[in-house]
Amino acid sequence: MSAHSQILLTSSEGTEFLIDRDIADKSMLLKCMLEDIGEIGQAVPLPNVSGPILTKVIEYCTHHRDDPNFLSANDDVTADIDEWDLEYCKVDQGTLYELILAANYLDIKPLMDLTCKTVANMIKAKSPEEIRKTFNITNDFTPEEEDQVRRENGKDWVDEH
Amino acid sequence: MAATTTNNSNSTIFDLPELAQHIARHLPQDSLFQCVRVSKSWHEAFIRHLWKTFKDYQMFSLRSPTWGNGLVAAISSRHTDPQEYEWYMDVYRRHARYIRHLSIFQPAILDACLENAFGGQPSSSSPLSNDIRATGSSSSEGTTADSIATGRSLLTNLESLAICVTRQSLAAYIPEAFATTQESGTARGLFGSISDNSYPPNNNIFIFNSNDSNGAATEPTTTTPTTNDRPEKIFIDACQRLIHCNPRLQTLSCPFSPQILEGILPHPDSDGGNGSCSAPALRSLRSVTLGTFNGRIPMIPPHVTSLRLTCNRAPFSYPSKAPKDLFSVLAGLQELDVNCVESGSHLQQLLRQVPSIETLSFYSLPSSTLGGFGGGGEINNTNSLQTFLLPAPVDVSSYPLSRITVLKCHQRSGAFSIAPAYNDIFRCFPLLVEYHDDAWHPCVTTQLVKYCPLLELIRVRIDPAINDLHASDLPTSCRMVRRTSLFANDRHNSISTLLSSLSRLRILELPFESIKASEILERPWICLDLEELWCRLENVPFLSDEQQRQVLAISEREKKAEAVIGDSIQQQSRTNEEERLMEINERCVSTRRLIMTQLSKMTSLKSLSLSPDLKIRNELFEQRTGATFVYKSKHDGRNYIRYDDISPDTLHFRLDSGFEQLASLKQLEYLGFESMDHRMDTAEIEWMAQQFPKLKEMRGLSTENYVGMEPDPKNDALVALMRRLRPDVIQGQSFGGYATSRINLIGTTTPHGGLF
Repeated sequence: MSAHSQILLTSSEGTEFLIDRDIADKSMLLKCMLEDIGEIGQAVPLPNVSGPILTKVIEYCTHHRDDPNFLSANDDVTADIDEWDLEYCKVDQGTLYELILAANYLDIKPLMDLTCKTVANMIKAKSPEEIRKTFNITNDFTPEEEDQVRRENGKDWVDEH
Repeated sequence: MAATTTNNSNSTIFDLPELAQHIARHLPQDSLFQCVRVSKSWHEAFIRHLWKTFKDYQMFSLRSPTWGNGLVAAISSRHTDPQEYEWYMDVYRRHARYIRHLSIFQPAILDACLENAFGGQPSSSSPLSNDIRATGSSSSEGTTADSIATGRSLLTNLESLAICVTRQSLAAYIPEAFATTQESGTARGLFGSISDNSYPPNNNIFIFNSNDSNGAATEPTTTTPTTNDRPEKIFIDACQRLIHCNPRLQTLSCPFSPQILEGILPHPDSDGGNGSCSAPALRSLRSVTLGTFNGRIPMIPPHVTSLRLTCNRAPFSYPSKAPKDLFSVLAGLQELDVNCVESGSHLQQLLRQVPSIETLSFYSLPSSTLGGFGGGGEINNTNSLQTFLLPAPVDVSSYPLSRITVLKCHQRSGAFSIAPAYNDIFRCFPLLVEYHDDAWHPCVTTQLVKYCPLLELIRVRIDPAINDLHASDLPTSCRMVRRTSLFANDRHNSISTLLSSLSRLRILELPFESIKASEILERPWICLDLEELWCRLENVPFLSDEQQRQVLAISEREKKAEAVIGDSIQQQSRTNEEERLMEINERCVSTRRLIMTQLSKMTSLKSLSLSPDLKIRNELFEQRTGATFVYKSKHDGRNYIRYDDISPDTLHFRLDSGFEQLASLKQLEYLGFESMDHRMDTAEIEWMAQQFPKLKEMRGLSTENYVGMEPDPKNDALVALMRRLRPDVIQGQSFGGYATSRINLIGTTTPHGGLF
């Protein structure tokens, strides 16, 4: 198979995307699939990924196409997010979630790490109430339960102030 | 970022446990605590991550004690406050299955893990506590401890276990009545020679008491157990139970590891000494740290690939007639880390035991303790023990050849440079690819070149002057002015030799080592695949500012003359002195061009630093704040500090000095020229911005962190120009990183520009 060959992908709503093989190979799912069955000459359907999200994913893979450390780059959990990636993640929460799901489904580990790190940064240094507000979550604990969870896990565990 | 509502509000990523796991990886403990309080589904998703790591201490923090501290306190006051104790234990029981990494100092925690392992009853018959299956403990991960005959553990999913107890803390915790139960026949005797007096307070590492001058007391076979061994035996039994209950354990670290493992492993004689591991519990174990070390490697499970031997400063005896079975060859080990190598022959013995290791990391004992490293010559004869401990110099040809590819030395004592036993030690590393050290000893150069042709990486991060004993004898000012010339006599042009001998070298990081201009011109470099080069350049001929002005004046005068009169008169107009000056100038420029030519051949260079920061040390800064470095500015009359650590005898990053040749370094990501008289101007900055497309960071222009320095509009303009042309390039300086706190302290007292 030639390195310059192209692959056709179909998003959930049927939009077709023609991408280079080396871009497709960034996704372990597609890479394994293409290695197993070869290039079938027809579009690969991705029913779990919408067109706009697939566009975003392709944008990411294209930007990092020549990254030699693509698979190991984000092993360092504490490493900072680089400028381009930071800008890339400035999307609304719905998109961010869908990106995480797409990265998970397509098995693109660096994108998974990046998006999860972005969510983690939205959680850090926030109180439970602030977290609920950020992610629009309803508190379904009773006051007693909430107090119990706080005591069980927080008593002397962290400084509350 | 706008907080918008998700489209499908009922299912979020936080409902998917595997995704929560990815997010939790990036969250610190205190954030995880906030997460479990958000909602029931978040509690479900994050509780296992909050409890994943359990410690009873908090590194680097006095403010926040851990939950484990509370548990320890509750256990110790269980008789006076049973309610508190029960509450803690109830919570602990419900969450213990989530713990994967246990790291403790207090034996009490181990007791809690095993449901009262030490509680006054012999551990072998310790009954299970009643009613321990608490609410919520049935889970998909399940506890399988019930099926394990050796006993019950609340923790069954451990991956790493670090127990750093002292004998004191054991004796204090395990009940006295129990400790005095005589059962000496079965007690392990390895610690028989330990004297309680030898423990320094608050020290968690055992030290062998060397009260027996012939060293025989450390022989396990000759030791008679004492009553003091009882708490240890109970503790060791408890650890063994815990290990049996945790078949996924990968990492074990404990001062008693040898004894713990010894009890689980089959005796070496039982199956010919070549361990098939009968205990399923140990099959996952890959990494072991032995907290005590008796000069040899004890039995370890066969799947262990990484072994760390630690001890604390005490010189251990190295018995030459040790039982044969204790010197078994450990064929599977790949990584060995020893922090107490006492001599060349000791290392030699260790290497014989581990023929398959690929990574070796070792600390040599300080030479001041042993009066010399590995050699018999420098022994302090007043101490008979030390005389015994030090073996004679080793015949280097008897070093076993190894497969070691990575060598990490910590030569604070400079072992290689002073010990006869280490002459030619590199002979046993023919496959060496990486060499790391804390200090660079130029005498190593010859050995590396001679014996290690595959070497790709040499990295010495610490300035030799910081640690080296020899250097500390020199007056501070001497170190400050030119630290790299400290070893002028024994440095064999080390960098030049390496660069012109090791063709596979990719990374050479010797930031405080210098290379002389003349050496570059004499010996061509052959490592053209070099990716990182960190060293200093010195002895490049240079002109003083005054001379430079004269040269400029002469050239201009001659240009004018040439335009008006013609060629022939030009030569006559120079005085002899001027002629000499112009010659020197010519040599300065041509030397710089030739060095640039040499550098330009290394087209793979990603990181180049020709002048590491000399301002990183506090003492330097203190020197600078002294009056000698303060002057009154002619411009505004204020006082400023003069940072006169700029080396003049280095390259100039000027296009008319050959800088343009570096255009071939298209891979360059980092360029460092701090403390270098770079002499860049607008043209050079513009050229640089264009020629190095991959450049990410440079150090040398920016001076923002230099406290009390006179403003330099010209330099500021260059910084601004670079920022404008290449906003993606970080302009860093290392001074600020190291001494920030000190600077802030001084800075607050004088808010306005000048410091004094």
